[in-house]
Amino acid sequence: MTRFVTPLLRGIIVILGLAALALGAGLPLVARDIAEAAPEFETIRLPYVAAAEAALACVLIALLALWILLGRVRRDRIFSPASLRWVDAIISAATAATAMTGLVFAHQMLAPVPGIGPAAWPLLLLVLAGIGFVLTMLVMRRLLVTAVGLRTDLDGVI
Amino acid sequence: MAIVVDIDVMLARRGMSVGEFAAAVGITPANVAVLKNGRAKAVRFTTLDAICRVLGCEVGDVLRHVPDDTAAS
Repeated sequence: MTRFVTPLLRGIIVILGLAALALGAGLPLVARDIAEAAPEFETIRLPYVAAAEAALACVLIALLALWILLGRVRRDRIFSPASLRWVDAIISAATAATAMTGLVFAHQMLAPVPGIGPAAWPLLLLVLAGIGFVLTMLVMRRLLVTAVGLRTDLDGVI
Repeated sequence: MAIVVDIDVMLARRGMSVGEFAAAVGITPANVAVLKNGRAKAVRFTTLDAICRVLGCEVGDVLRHVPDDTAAS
């Protein structure tokens, strides 16, 4: 990678991380305001906020793993078995976040709170995007496994 | 390992130490040890070229094929 790419990517990770933290802090407050203005949302307030916070936590975990993987690329340690652990962390976090979003969406479809209806559909887009991301990451993981094997073989050549 | 690497005789003939040999060939002394005790899985032709040049010998002088004794016929 060129000199610019790593700091740039790290900057983006920091920005995304701060955004996630800001969302995580602001969400419970916004939810409380909404529930006060429209009491029919009170029953779903805590579970939905909890699910959203959990999903944001997954995002932060994935961002941390990405940061570490970037560091490994920089030190040319990326093609070693330890990197796989961090890739697995990203895949697990993405799967968990997607599953949670899916559960919230399914709940809205099956037990809708009156008035929310159309607002649930963006969740479906998020679930589809999440599934796509996880599948892409699985392919990338396979690539990394192959690369690690090739690197190990090459390192054994005298 | 069916390919045996014999550099000790050549080293003794040249009066060269393992360290000098490793430096001249451009590999680490650790890799020299790996070569000698049959744990090497692959050698570059450029390394072989350097070995033959440094020891002043032929490839067949340092490499021997000893077929594995397997039960299957």
